[in-house]
Amino acid sequence: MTEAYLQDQFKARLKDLPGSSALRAAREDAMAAFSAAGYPTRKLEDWRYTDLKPIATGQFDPVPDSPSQDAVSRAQGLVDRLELTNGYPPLVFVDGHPVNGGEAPRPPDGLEILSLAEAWDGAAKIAAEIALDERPLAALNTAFAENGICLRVASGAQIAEPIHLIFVASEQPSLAPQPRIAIDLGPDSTLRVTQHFLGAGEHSGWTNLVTQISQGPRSKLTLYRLQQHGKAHLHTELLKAELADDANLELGYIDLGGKLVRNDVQVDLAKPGARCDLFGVFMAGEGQHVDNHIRVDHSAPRTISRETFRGIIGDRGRGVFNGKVVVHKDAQKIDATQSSDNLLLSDRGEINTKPELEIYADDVKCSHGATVGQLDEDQLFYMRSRGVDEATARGLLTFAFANEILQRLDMPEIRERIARTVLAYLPGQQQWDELL
Amino acid sequence: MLQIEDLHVQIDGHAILNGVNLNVAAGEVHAIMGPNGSGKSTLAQVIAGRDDYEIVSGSMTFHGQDLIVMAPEERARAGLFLGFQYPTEIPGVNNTYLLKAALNAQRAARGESEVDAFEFMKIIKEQSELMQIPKEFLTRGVNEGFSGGEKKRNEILQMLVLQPTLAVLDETDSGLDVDALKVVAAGMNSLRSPDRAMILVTHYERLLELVVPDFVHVLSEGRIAKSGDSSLARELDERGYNWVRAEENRA
Repeated sequence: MTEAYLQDQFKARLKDLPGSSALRAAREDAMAAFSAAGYPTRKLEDWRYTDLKPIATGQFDPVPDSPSQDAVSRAQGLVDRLELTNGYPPLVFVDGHPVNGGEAPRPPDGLEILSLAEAWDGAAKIAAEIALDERPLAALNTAFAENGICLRVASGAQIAEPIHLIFVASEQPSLAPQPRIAIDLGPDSTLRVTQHFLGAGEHSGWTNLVTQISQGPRSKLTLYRLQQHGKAHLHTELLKAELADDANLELGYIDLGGKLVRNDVQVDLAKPGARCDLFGVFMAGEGQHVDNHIRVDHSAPRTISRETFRGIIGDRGRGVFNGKVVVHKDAQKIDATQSSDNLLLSDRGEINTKPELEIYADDVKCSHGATVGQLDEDQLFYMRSRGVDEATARGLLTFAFANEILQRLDMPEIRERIARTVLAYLPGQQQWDELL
Repeated sequence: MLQIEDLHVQIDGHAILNGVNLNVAAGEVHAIMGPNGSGKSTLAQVIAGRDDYEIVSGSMTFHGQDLIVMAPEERARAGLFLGFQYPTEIPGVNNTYLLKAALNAQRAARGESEVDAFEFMKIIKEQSELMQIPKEFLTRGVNEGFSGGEKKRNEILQMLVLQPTLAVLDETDSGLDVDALKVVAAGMNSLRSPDRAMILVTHYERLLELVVPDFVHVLSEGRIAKSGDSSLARELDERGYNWVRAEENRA
């Protein structure tokens, strides 16, 4: 999608996109910001290892039409197979369009579920909170976002049921949905959310997601982003969160599918006592590229961040981890840890991992570590000496490496499904049911 | 059962075993003793199939099969078991799972069906009680967070579940207190039978008072310098190893 093509598309489609005049102005600013910046190139330090050429040279429709009834029922089939029995009925999007027909059940007390159109003025405000010149892809999302959802939790509300957001790419090729999610937690509230990305086909498409989170004092949000796109799908996203006093954010990133995946996560621990726990597992097999770019700003004293990422890189797979922790001036008593551990299953795989620290305060505790390794020969020999064949032993150790992190997914049915998907990549999985 | 003839082994061009000869028949318990660096652990690892070592010459057969060409898992399936001197920790793979996977792999190699779940739990319960391994250890990662003594007891538990025809136990007794040594020795003795054999690699005579060997060999400078019955172990305990070397040099 060249910049000129996007300009033309924007001019032609703007009048059909929802929103007030304020939002329309925000869209125009965003498009102008994108045009000025263009796609990020590998000349930029933050994009050194990730080439957006498949997006820049591809042909996609940034405002996909509504899916056919057929596509919707096929998507529903995929959703049913997730067996999400626990929680509010899943909110399903196909090619970016909400497809929950009929009347939705009443949300739990204290939770408002708004469509992007309903929440639009808020969205315009939120749109302004992203530094568009630094985030050209998020600017594109602001310009073109047609659908999305806004979750608002009232002060003090404890929402027990998880909210599942499911995004399915249909078999219609060359679509580029731009979903927009806003999550707003009032003081002392709690919420759990999952975002699933599923692909129905093997054709190419591009999902460009923006998730914005705003957390009031002492609120707690758990968000699992589970990406299982088809093998040819491109996925870019920005998750931006701002946390008030003693707010707590737990983020889990699981990337199993997709051809080119770039996750930008930006968390601002804006007020004293805020805490963020980020964990992730990605698998980059043959021809897959997965890039996790995390930035955590410790803007206030006594803030805590934890980052734990594990990557499994197969033959000709590529992984990138960049974790940046910035401790701002006068933000004392900071505790920040970062780890990035990677398993290279082939000498033709590639991983670039770079933890970064920028510290402008003096009373801080920061640590980071990165490892890149192969499977442990002692562990392999130990299992083989018990009679387990080499391929199974390798698969078992690879699974164990991922599973240590997957254990943190605090929703058993989801944890099990993800673990099964990881197992499906490895040899000998049929005998491994008891591992789960 | 196991026949080793004129075995020469090196690692990184450095000779470690210089012509080892050893015959182990069914029903026998052999002890291999010797000073540090004499090649005891190398011998145990080479029998089990560790590929860090280069076998320069010689032969090893097990039940008449050429061991040298067999992968470690094939050796295990043929009935060989190595008790590790330093058992590896494997976080994320639970003990029970490994035991079951190992047992089923060995059963499949013998053309037997998978172990019945109920039967398996019964075996585990029985043997872990004998080894005094608490139930909650079984669902933890393999050896994860185990003390030195717990790891050694876990090795013997694995041996008892797998019921090998030949167990090579590499310094299972080192680092154990008297009580743990008794537990481990009871496990070893429970496996003794006319159709099984055991090789105990050890530094100390105290294990051999509890598991009395039929033969004692002294490994020195990469070859067996002296063999005898269990009284040799007591003699070594009293006199050390130097006299064996001196005797061999005179010969």
